[in-house]
Amino acid sequence: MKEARILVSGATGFLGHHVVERLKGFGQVTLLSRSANNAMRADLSQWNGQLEPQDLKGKFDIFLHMAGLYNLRINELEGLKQNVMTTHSALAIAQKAEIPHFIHVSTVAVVVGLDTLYARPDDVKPVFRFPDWYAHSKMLAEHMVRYWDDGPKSKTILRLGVLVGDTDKGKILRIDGPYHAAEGIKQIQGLIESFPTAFPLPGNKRTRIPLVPVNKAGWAISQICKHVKQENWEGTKYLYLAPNRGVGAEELFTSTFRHLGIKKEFSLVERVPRSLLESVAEKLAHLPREEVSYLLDLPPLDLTETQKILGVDWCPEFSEYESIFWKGYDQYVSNR
Amino acid sequence: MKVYFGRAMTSTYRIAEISLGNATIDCSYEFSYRDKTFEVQRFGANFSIGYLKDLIVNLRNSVDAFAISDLPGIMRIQDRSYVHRQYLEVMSTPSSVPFCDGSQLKELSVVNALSRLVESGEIQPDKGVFFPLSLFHLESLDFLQENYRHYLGIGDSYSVFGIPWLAKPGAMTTSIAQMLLHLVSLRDLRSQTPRAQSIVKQMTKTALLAQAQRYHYVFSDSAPLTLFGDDLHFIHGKEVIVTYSHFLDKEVKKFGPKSIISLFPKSLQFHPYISYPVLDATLRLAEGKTAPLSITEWQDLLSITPEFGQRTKRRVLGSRPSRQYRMTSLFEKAKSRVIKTPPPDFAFIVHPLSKHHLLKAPGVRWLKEMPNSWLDGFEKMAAKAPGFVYGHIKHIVSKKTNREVNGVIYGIMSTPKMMMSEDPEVIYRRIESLCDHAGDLGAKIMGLGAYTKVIGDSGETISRNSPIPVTTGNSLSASATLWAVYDVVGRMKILDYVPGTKRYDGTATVIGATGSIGKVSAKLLSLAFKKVCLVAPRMDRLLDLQEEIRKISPECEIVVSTNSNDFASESDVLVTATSSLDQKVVEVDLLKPGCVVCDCSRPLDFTAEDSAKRPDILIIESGEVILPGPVKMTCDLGLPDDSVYACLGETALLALEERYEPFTLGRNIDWQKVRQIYKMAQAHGVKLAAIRGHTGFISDREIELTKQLALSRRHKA
Repeated sequence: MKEARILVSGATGFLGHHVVERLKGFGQVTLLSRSANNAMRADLSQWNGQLEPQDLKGKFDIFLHMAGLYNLRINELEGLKQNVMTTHSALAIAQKAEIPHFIHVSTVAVVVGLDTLYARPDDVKPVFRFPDWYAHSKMLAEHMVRYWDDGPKSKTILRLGVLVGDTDKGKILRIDGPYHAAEGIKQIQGLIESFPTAFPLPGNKRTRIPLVPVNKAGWAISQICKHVKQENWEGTKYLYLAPNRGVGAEELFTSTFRHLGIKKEFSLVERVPRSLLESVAEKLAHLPREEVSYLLDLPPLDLTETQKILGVDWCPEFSEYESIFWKGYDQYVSNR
Repeated sequence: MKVYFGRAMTSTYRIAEISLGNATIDCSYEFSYRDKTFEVQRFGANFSIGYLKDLIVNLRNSVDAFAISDLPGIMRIQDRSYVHRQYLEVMSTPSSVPFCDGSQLKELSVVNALSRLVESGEIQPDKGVFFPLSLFHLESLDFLQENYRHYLGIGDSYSVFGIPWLAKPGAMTTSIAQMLLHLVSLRDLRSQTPRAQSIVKQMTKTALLAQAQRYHYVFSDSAPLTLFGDDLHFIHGKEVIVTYSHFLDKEVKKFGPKSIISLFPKSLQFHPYISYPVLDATLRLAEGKTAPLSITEWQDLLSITPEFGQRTKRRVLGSRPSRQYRMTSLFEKAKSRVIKTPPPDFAFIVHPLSKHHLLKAPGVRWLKEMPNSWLDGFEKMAAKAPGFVYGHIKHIVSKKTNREVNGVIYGIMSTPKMMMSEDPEVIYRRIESLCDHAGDLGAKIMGLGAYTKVIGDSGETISRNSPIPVTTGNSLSASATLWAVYDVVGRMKILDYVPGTKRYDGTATVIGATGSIGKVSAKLLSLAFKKVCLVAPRMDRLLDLQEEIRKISPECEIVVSTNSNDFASESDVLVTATSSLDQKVVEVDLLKPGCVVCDCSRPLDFTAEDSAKRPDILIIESGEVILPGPVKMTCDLGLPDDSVYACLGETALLALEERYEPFTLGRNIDWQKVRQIYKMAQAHGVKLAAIRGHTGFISDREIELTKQLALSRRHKA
């Protein structure tokens, strides 16, 4: 098989580094970036990314679009600019440069609040309440990829779980996702320890957070690029990139308590008004209210299609890299 | 190659279709019309006016036209026209490329197509027509209700407010619609987006759609229909009338409509998905127009018969502005007074260049008719007045960074004569108080215009006492001078260009060569001409300058004189940069035929009479540039159109670069800085203003005539 020629956006981000590293062993990789020296200069917030896509005709097999803003607290305008406009430009470039395969990295956040037993890969049911503008803008971007007319013949939408540090050193670049729990609990450690009963924390026993180590996500995306090139199929396909089980709120909080040396019981609370729960979590522990939604409302994910491509055990469970996870967190905190 | 607002113009035109609707149905396509290629991209603003305006700002430097769609623009109810407040807000976003909404074209075209289909029996409105959102199809509703009022159903109350009431057109619905147009916000429409599909909404929708079952036709474009999500089953077996085809028609077809009837004119269907605003933009670009085509031109394009044309023309042109429109206008005016304009990025000071300029001030024009002594008295009195905000210059947008800056322009009422006769300290204090004021407003740099930089130590004292950095703007003034000279000499084609030396085989003279602009002009001209003559009142300074230039440009012959007439007869280029007030710097009769005179002095050294006396020479005024972006100025600088003084241009450029520093100060300007600012100007898209002489712009034909006359006079001599 001929070497795949891949055009990559968002290659300079946390995930991008890991993906590009692995793609290099499999194909010719060209990066798009506003500033990186080793990249093709492009600004996806502009018309055709300020490129002349016609000049790129026939030069690429896959457009891997990872550019976007990952921040649960972005406002509407930022979401539209950073996640929707960039996807528009990426699709326009792919169409004009006649790139046959388009891979779009989305998020599991688009199914938060979906009231079904399982979230199927192609579930795009309009959800009446998105927890944040990040999820909303990612949903819009996904729909745009799906409906884009006369573009790439195959479109793959990867709904990526919650990224955490890698499984070698646990290195992270900022505090987000499950690390927020540790930050929040640390802030109220005194209160927890002096609390007369088991300390109430938001969560339930059903929801499991699909944590994905960044190096594993990088590997998975590179494998999917390979698969897309090999299969050369047509149409739109959705895949979840998530572990089989994921971490439950109880397991995450237990691990956090253990790591912080808190010898106290806690109990999971969900049967209080949602706004009250979110407000208390935010005010008291500075836990973003958007994160609370994820703890309570993320449905189980249907991974059948993903496992066909990546195998059953491609993504380790939290317990397998727990110590590395905390090591990365401690290192980040000590350098802060 | 034609350059159009900084972007190289090729035969491909770019049209950005900015829609208020969903972002999920963006697309890109191309088509050809009249041997030109049109590249269209649709950007959905997802019902966010803020994002819609942001898209315009972001793309305005990259496209040739904006097609604004899915935004209820000017709507007509009965004989009144209504315009939405947010529509005005969007349309007033600064842009140098046209906004095309295709509203008139759509009205003419849709009513024309509809009437033909009704006449031919292909559409039978008496079977019932349901308008899920008639707000977008008022022209069709208006047309149909003339004969079929009882067969129409309107779902707007649901689409806008979620009330499941299927109304009939009539006096009551018209009154309600008129009232709603006063109140409704475009943002209300987003309540129908998937984000807001609550259970209550779902129930009310079901109730409405049950009522809509009995209608045979559904009149709606595909995009608004998708707002109904999975509940589109009610179109099963019905005929859907769309005003234009859309790729979402495929999605609509999945719900099994009997057919989809498009009212779009087939002769203008350059692409299957072209919309009216895009068609409007296409036709304007193809015709090279920025304004919409006339009704007659539309009618010709749409092959509308004269009789029918008269009817639709009356309808389109006959409406009067509604009370709502007048209220909207008043509201906008009041809003602009209450809401403070954003802080300026830079400030600039101007003053009248002669006592006659003072007459431009409101309330004193009557002095024109009075004896001259009255005006002299007024000149002295006005010189004592403190500075004031003269106006604003807005929307200067960099081609390089897309950064937008705005400036405030201060005026002081002193004429050059008064300023030179007054103690510099007094003028300093006056200018410093303006610097304080500008700093308080938020401006980060101050530019000194005309004589405010000539007095005293050329801005150095002012800069020391000012809370914000000060620049004289002389670097860009000098740069623009050579730019203008080069441009005209190149167009005249009298002088030979010697490629080996990269110079013109001719003589350039600089009068006022030891002055701030003169010195740099001399240095730059020494790089472009074989011989340069320097003229200034003090020989010692001239000799210093001669030495300095010899080091920079050893191949150039440098001669000096204190008499400006010495070199008049041999100069191919003459640059004057003096601050002489009343005396003549050079006799115009002595000048060589074909000489290009660049008058950088303020007030000017040459008069209109001089130009008339010597039609074989070309006298240009230098220093004017055109700033990039859809620049708007609220005051008169005495310059044509969009051009501004180069010194103002430098201040704006420094603000665009965010280089808040005293870039040019003092009598000596650094010629490296002149080159630097020239490069900055090129990068940000500053252009040389059309070359201007005493009697207006100098055309290519005028240059050619001057050249011919000069050559014949040289021949005779």
